[in-house]
Amino acid sequence: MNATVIFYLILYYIIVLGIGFWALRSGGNKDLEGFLLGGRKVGPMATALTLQSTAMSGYMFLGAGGLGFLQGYWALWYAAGDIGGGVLSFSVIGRRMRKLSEIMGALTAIEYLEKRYPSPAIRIIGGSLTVFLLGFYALAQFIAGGKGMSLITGIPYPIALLVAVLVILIYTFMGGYLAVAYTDFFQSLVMLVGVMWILIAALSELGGLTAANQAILEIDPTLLSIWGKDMGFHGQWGIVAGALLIFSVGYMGWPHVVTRHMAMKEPNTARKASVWATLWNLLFVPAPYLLGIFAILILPELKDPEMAIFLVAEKLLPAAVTGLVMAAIMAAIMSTADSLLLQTGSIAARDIYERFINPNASEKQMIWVSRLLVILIAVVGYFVALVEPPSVFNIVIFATSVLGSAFLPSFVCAIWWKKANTYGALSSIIAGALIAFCWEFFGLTSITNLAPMLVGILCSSFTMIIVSLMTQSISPVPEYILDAMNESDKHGPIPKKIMQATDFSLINEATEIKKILKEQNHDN
Amino acid sequence: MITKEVIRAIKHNIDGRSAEQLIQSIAPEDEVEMIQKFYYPYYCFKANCDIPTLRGRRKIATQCLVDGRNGLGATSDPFIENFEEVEIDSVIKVCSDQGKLKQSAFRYLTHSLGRRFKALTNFNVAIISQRLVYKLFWGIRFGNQFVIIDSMTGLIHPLEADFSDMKQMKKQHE
Repeated sequence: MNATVIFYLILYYIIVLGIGFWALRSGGNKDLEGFLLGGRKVGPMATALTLQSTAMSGYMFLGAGGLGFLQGYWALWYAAGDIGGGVLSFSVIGRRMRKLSEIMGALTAIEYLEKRYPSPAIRIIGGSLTVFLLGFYALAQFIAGGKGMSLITGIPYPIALLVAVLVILIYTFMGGYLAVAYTDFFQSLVMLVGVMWILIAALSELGGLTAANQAILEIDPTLLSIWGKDMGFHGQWGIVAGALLIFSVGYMGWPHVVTRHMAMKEPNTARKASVWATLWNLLFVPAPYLLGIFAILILPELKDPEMAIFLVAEKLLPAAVTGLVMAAIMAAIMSTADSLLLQTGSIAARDIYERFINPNASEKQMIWVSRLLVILIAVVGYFVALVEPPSVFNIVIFATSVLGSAFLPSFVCAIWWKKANTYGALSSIIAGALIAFCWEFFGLTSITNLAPMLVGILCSSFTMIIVSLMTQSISPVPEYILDAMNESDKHGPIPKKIMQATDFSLINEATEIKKILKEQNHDN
Repeated sequence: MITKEVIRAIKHNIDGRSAEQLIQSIAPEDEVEMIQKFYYPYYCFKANCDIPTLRGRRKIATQCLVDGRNGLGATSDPFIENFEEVEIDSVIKVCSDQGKLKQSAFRYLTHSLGRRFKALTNFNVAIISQRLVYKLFWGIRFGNQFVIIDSMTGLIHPLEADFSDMKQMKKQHE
């Protein structure tokens, strides 16, 4: 990397800091309070792009490019699932989950599961599993950060990794104060423009898509097929289904993602935001995979496929643009890592430590529990990433497959199936996690030609149905939960326009007023 | 017989006529009528907290509302309040214990601070005062549907009640 790239990288961070200062007008406490009190409204476009910039982790810049480089067009199966994942998640569980969590007074996804399936076991198993898997997910961000930092600054990987881990830790402890809506929004635009710029530069270098495909055909025609290099996945629909499912329906089983539904306010904003998110995904998601494919031609000697996007950018873009784009990528990695660590720390402190170990824990104690866990993840992560770094792709696929398999039926049935009970959910979480984990760990994919995600989801879904039905007599769903579910799925003959103008946060007031009216009517 | 009382109410931005017009604009083909007012109870908790900024930690004041009926559904929207004399029948009674309300407020504040500031830090939330406030909701009928409208924000929520109950209530009220 040359000095110009580093200069523009620093310039980028100065711009982001400037936006942070401007957005919060650091002069007094008033704007800070306004931000805290929810006085600042962020529109659907900014909401969507903010979420996307956080959601698009190191996987997109390292894992996706690496997969494209190794498997050619087969990699686009993952992109196909990812494009519609957000909208699917919103459509299936979004609105109802928002209402149900409001009625039940749940603030986190794991707490919501415990309230819907009343049992402390749900919380301890769900919480522990989430902490473990999000820790893995964070490991992928450490590796991505270390590799990126090493390439940008030219320092050796072990030191770059240490710097990346430390920066992520500081960012998490001190607060991503500047990573507020406007800076995230700016970053998502830079990421989108940057990736599109690299893609256009790559296509221009290769003489267009047809010429690029022609050149790939001459190297290895199987890279152009939908079955992967050497037709390695030919007819293996079980693996293709897994690739499609992981980032489409899989989203609905990730506690750190479904939490977003719980914070959603007006359905209209959410709907418009999902349209923006889909547009952003349509443009952004396929690009890293395609760049990996084009790197086969641009960087034929590439040793580490996961560095494809960084190196294509370095080779084709002007130094200034490379600096800005790489800074945006690093910022996205850090933003995702700090979100993951925050969630992991909070779940460990609130859902495990406070709930089961020390119910009278002070806020200070809980912060320390969170911090110690995050430091532990960072130390373990550093050594794992240093000694035997797994690929970012493999870690993300492992963590998301197990998370999705474990939690998907529990989150979906929580709102859609009134017979889903505690035993069903508990056994579904355990079965899904165990099967997906064993499938990955023992390498059963290559023997059975079935992806862990597919097998995991099928197992956890069947377990949920069978166990719930078998245990209805000993563990019926409590009446108050059924009432809450009825309340959350009410549409009634309300005109669509009124439904669109409905604000979910008023559901408790509406429920109470309705109760009062019924009581008054009964008394009269 | 005393029929009125003075309460501390959140200043409303939407009056009854505007609430009717709002629904009329959404359902122009229906007959729209304001049926009843509801003063809904909340506990307003004021708190101090420390916020991490680029120039060190800064102490700020914050507040949140906790639903006085079930101790849930906290919100942190800012508001202005004043004293109002209102019909006793329109005031909804509080029914939640103080301990639960305070715990709920504390939990909500720490959760929303962590989420907004994306920081694993102690915000040192200290609740300094609490008081009961009421927010006015307009009960509006249109066709044979019934909705409540938040008089402060204009937000709407359907109330899937049988309208025959409401007719009866209105007669009694009159």
